[in-house]
Amino acid sequence: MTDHVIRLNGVSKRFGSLTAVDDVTVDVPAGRCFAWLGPNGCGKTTLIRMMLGLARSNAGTIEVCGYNVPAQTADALANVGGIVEEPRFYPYLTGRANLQVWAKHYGPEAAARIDHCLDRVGLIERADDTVKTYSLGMRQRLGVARALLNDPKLLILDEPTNGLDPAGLAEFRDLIREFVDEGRSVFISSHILGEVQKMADDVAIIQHGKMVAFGSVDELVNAGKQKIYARTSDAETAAKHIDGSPGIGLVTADEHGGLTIEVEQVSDDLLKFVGKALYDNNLPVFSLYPIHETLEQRFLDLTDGEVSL
Amino acid sequence: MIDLLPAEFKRQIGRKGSFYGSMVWVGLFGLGVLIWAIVSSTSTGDVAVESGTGLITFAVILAAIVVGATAGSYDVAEGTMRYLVLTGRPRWQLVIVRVLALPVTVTLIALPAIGLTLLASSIAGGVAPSGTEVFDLFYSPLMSGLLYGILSLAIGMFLKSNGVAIAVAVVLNFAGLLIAGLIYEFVSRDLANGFFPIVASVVIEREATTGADETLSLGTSIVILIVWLVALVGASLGRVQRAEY
Repeated sequence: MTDHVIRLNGVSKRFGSLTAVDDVTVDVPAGRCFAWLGPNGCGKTTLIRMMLGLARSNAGTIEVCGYNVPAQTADALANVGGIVEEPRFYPYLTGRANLQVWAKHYGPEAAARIDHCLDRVGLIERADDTVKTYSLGMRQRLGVARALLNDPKLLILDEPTNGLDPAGLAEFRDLIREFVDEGRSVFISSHILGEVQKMADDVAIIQHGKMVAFGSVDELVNAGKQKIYARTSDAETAAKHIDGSPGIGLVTADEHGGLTIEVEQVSDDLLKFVGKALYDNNLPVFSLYPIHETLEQRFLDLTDGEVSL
Repeated sequence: MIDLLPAEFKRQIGRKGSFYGSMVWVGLFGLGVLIWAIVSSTSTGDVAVESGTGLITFAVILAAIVVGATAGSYDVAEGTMRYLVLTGRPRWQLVIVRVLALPVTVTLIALPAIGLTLLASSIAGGVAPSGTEVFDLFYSPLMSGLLYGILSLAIGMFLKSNGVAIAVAVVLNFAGLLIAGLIYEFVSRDLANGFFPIVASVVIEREATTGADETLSLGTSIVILIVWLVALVGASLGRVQRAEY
């Protein structure tokens, strides 16, 4: 396998006059959890379908696990397990019988892995119930079990946390980290940004089919606006004293005495400077702390607030 | 690809509504023949088999249309087709395995009714059915089921809804005969003789059909039917190869 498990170069997909994916170029590193984020309808699933050979691109090249898609799709898929859009099964068959159907397509080694996969996702106790009795969260987990049948090097999971309750989310997060620790690569798309921030190593943000940001979670979050918050008795007066000082950007005062101060880079010196400025002007300091931007805030900044959560 | 057959059987037979529903539907006709043999003082073994053949063939055609159309459309309609494609199996195998499994499914659907008819024949007594009549009791429903099942499967492959696939298959199968009649009357008798329902009926009945001034031989019908089946399966393969899931 190459150092990059997925390589997309200038990939585009059009549906008539609509450009669903627009000139996306990105290399997804191997052995990490990569998250693909974007508002609903921004082209995330379309891109995943093209990577898996389920849809054809109009332009660009796609390489998955070192194989060109669509020219070498079968070789690529031998290394991949996936969930696309939502996990679909034969509802009239049991969870185990469903996996047996898919295992037949992969071969005897996959059949031998069925119980292990069911156990891995915590469904072994319900394996002999028909899938129509499963909750959405259980079907998601069964989808992950199916994706593991061929012992893939790369898992591509489209909105895998849909339908999971908080406990299920925590379990799923641990499962993803286990996959990465085992040396697998994980590519997920999700709109549950808080969860992505906890489980992903790298993130790309897509909007209107175009990739607008790419990097590690820390890089992306730290690249956002850095702020300091202070609360005092007279925010308006405090703002006048602080505004225009070196390293200080926009200062916003609210009616509750709160000051939000945009800074180039949060530092102890700047915090000290703000505290001293308030103190020197006889303004009490009720609170003073840096504001750490979340991935969700960064996402909203980058997509101009266009998100369907 | 043969290794995929058990999984395909599991899918086709696992759809209990269409599978067992069809089996009960066809079985009712066999049961009718059995009841007739028991209660009628004029019943004879040969008539029981002859009647059963016609009734079961009719019932199996309808059942095969439902099962075949569903086998063709189900995975696309339910969103499971993309996961079958994700296994990396060549798409053509996903089509051919359905075609191969369908005759077995149709046979399983028809066998109870055929069994009931044979039981009726033995109960009725009198003139026993000939070997040819007994052969037809198996051949006619199973061949009908196979032919109309494949036709419906091909139709189902082009549609994304099970209900629509079944409805379209039913209409096309029965309208086909009407269209063939219209073409026969107003366009070309040779062209009409090439229509699926016409050649299928010749092969099912194993008798040449004689129109007003021409005859469609069994051999010609078999050749034309094979062309039809190859075209239908080929169209399905083309559809699945091109489709985006």
